[in-house]
Amino acid sequence: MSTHRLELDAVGLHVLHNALANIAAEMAIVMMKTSYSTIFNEGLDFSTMLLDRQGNLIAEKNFAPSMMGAVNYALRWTLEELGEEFFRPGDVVVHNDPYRGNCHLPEHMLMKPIFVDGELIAFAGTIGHLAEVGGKAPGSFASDATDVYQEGLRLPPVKLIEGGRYNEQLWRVIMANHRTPRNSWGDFHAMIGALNIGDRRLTELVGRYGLKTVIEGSHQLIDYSERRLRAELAELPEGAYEASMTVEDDGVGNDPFDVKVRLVIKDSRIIADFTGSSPQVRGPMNCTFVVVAAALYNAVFSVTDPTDQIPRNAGCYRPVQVIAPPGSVVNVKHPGPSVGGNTDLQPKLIDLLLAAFAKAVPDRVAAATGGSSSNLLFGGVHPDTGRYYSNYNFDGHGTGATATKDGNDGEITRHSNCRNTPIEVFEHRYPLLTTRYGLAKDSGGAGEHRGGLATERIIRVTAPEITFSALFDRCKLGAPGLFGGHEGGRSALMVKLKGESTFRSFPEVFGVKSPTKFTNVVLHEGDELYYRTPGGAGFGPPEKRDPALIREDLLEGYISPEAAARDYGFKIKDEAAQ
Amino acid sequence: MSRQGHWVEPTRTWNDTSVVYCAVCGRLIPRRSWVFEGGAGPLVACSPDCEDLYESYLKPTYGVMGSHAHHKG
Amino acid sequence: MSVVLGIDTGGTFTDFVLVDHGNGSIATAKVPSTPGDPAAALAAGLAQLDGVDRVDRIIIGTTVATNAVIERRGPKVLFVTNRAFEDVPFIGRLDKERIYDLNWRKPKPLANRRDSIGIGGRFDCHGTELAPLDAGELEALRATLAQHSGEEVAVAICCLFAYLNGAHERRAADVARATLPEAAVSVSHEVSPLWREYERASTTIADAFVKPVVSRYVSRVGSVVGGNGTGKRRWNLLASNGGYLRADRALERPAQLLISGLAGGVIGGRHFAERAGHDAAFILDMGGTSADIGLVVAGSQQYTTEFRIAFGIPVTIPCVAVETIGAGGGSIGWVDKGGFLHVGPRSAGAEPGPAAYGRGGAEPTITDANLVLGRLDPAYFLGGAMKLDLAAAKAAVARLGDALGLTAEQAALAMVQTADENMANAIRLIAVERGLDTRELALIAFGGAGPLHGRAVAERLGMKTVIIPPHPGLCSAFGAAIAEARVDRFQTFFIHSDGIDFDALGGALRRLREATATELKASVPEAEPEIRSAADMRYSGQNYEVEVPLPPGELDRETWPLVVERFTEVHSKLYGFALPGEPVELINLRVTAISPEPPSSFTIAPKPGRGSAERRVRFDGKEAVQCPVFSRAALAEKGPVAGPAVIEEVDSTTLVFPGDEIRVEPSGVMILSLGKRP
Repeated sequence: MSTHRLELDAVGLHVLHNALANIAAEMAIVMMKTSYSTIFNEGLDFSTMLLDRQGNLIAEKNFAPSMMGAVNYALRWTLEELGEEFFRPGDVVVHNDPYRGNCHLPEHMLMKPIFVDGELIAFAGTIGHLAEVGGKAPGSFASDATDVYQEGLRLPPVKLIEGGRYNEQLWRVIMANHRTPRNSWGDFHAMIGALNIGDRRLTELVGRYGLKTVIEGSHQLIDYSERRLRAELAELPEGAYEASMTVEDDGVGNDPFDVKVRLVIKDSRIIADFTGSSPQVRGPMNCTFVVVAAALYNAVFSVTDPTDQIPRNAGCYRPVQVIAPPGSVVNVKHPGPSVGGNTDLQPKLIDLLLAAFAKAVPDRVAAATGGSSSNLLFGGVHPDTGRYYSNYNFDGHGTGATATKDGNDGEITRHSNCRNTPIEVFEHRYPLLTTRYGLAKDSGGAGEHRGGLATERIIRVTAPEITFSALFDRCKLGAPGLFGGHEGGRSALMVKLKGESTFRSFPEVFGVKSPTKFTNVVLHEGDELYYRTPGGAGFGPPEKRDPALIREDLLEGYISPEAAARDYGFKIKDEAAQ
Repeated sequence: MSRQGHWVEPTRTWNDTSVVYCAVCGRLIPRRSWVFEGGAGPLVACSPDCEDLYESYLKPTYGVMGSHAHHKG
Repeated sequence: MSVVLGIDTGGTFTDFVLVDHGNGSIATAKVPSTPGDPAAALAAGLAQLDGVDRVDRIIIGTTVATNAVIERRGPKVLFVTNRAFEDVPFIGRLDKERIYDLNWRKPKPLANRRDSIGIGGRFDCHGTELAPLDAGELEALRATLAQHSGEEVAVAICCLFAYLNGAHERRAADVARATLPEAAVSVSHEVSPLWREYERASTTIADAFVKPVVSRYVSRVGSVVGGNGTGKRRWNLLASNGGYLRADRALERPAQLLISGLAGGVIGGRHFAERAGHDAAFILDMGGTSADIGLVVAGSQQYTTEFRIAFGIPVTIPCVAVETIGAGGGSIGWVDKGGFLHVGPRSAGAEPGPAAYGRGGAEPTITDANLVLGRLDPAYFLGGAMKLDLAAAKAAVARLGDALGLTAEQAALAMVQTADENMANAIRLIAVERGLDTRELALIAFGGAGPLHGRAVAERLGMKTVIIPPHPGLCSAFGAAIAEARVDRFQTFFIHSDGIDFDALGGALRRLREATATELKASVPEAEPEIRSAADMRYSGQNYEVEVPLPPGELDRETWPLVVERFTEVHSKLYGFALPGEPVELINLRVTAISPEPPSSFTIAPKPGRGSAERRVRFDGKEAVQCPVFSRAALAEKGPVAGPAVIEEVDSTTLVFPGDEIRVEPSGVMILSLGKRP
């Protein structure tokens, strides 16, 4: 019996939406407070959510837009495959299968059915990036993997908890396959704790307003969001808008590949048709279907509802359709690898989609970002503790300029909202000394509005040895500019062995194929690694840039006098003479 | 738009790990599939919506799709 | 026995509460704030208040530092740090405030990149010097700083791992002071010796940035309230940790004042929760523009080390834990493109204020909605000192109703309920973060609007009791008046249980205790500080710590197992599990020095109000209900009353729903019991 009455009018629906979104936020706090991996608690690389009985998203706390495709599909597909009867009271199901609706192997979605009076009413869900899930490289980021089996342990939907009890057999398998099982144990428990609070709070909400009101209300909210997004889409000029982009390599070979999109805006719907994109590549730069969907949602929300006015639920996904040919780089087929598709192709797909949107609504888009997560992975035994460690590190890049603004310097990729690890925390945890961390001068693409600056870093090994893997991108092809804006600065990844005086590329020193994608390179005490992330692209022709802004850029050290002269025709001497 | 297709229940067993994709949109077909005539043989899709998508968009844009290969650009 | 005057400078009013511990009496005053010159309001209030000549201690809560940051009014800050790390404040933590907004721009730090100065030298994570800071480096620094002589500048110095070894920062500071004698100089290991270089740099820059503003404030206010703080009548500022500091000492680390304006409410709330016999309560201070939410657990206010003044300006200082949300009497109701009702965060503020103020405000506010519902009496706002225009309120709310397809009354109810939901949701998040069950806590509601909304918020959280302190509009000033001299010092000292250097750990704790006691005695020379120590600990690999009280005395090989045992207990209690035998990490040491005050035994009689009356009040979607209206003084004489009822006093109105019971306790607090009389 409900204790309170809630009219499902505009006021009541909003009250219900806020209550549901608050439950997702409470779940997120539990994850943050109790998880083990820095990628959860410092990096915030996770999201929490409530879904209805059919697997449709009701409410979310979204820290990681890249996961929203999986959020939209993974549970629905699980329900289609295994049926509702698979879920029993007290179960917690885990799922990281990239061929069944998950992003890539590290992302684990946990789902808990919520029962009231014996009836399945909804699901609590959480999805997060586990720092270590096995596979050929520590940190589970094998940038030269040629199939999924090298990327880590793959779990189709299976029960971690069955009827409230540990499914011990499964836990044993998982713990035996992850390199840092204690972290996995802690992180899974943080996720389960989040699901439990979601279960409890939704049950309380049902107690307050009644089952019928909560269920009916959440369906109305989904319809409401769909109406609102369609209203926004109706304001965009109808038509088909095409864009394409070349990506430099796949980590295994050295050949570039293409992604293409045809964006069809019609009848307040959007179809993003990726037909014509390259066949799937041998290396891990492939995207799964749901990652492509996440990129599309990201671009659509950025263009239509950038300040999150529309309640984010399944209704926002309904008017948005992906067409992604299986076996292509935008829809990897089993057993193709996909770990880097999520982190390094996805942000470029967002840029690609924005480039297509630019033909329809130029004032609502941005030029391309650096578009790479700049993944650096390393592990080894810490000399101070004798314990094994493994870390997944990423860094900020420059973002693309817009019709009115310069890009941001040192920002996380568009598909995520992670934070960096402070140097002082980093050096306590890992035997590495940072000797430079800063913005890379001249790395923002020139333009009427300038792209944001990349970051650069130098770290020196202070342990006898550390094993490194990397998955960077845009080292050969910078972020493309828009409307005459220049490309963003290119990335770099170099090494200086102890006793040497210059930094050299990894292919030169270690014979790896790609300058930015390699696995299991061992560096020793005193060796130094330099990297620079890619910069953001410019928007509009540089000659239209306000000289006052060029002067300010020079004063603030964002550009050098040489670049001012080269890109903008701006001469300091002329200035001095005036 | 009138639809011509019909649902087909899978014959795969739980220990079959193969993955089937929708010929139209590319998404996973977790269990049953919607099979319809595409003009050059039957197409296996994820839902009746994809028959609509084929008729309203893919066929007019790229022409008739072969029944085994996915549409090509 | 002392006579203490507490002052709270709010955005709209400046409040005064004088507590005479000798005879147990109090006196109060309220005057309009004068943002241009806060001292003018202080002078006006002092002139009104009886007994000012007997005051021997003044404690002022102020938003002067906060406002300087928010409005970015301050000097050019020269930022000095390790060479090759000059960009740390400009890179920040990479995250975005809004994830899909392509035009969102990172807020700039309070310093320009061109003024970021690199120097040599480097310490490692053990505090060992890897590279020296030599004379040549210092000379180069001097030359760079000298280019700014004659300008109004401040210097902020933040070097890597300075929380472990401040030697390089000190030498750079010496150069800065010698080169720019007029400049304020802030040094990270003194301002905030906690790890995470970006947050510490941000805090140090903020400290330097507000120093000149605070300095001017101290000298101006000092001229009004009595000397520079060294004379007979001591005057003090309330710090973010809820303790007071002699004004001239506060100047040494003004970052400590960044949430001074919020601390008084928490201290006042804690005091009255205790008077009501509750040792665990949420504090809801709902004023004109916002609602500030604080927390009391086990009889003490809760602390945090991180506070964000705005996105992109974190400050890491020991401060009382307070969350602010945009729900106040002036919060504006509006309808979004999709027809959903929102309340706040935009506020009509004091000018033009709610539509009912008749000062040109046309948008509907929470105050307008409460008037329309009969919850407020237009003839008795601020005890009748300000007449409200009911017709204007109704017109504003009716316009909102048109957009929602609701009558004015329905729209007013929807606004009030939306604000109540927002406050309840914010409290839920704090509860889950701290591992608390809201049903087990009381709500203490004050500020002008708190008592009007407290009951509805409490009901949503399953709480059974709402405590309304005496003079609810003055509770922050009360808090300032009863604050203790208190210094909190936190310091990061990373220890892994696999290899502990007990000499270093014990030494660090000893030095921190000494420094904390010394700082307190600088404010209150006659104090016999009570010292408490704690450690922030976690399992190795976790990233959030739990606070573990440390035993008095040395921290060494003998006492360490006891500390680990306590950690296991605390972790288990908070998160429901512990992992005995797993390696643990100690991250921060925390030391608190308090100069305890004698228990406050002052009595607070309600001010006599007007006679009892009746009016029609709308509680829910049903018809309005005829309600008795009592003054708080009348209720005190009468004994418990069943709802529905309205309790009025000069600065606030308490709403009692049908089925509730309300009474005034002999201690002066008013207790509302929810659903006691079904």
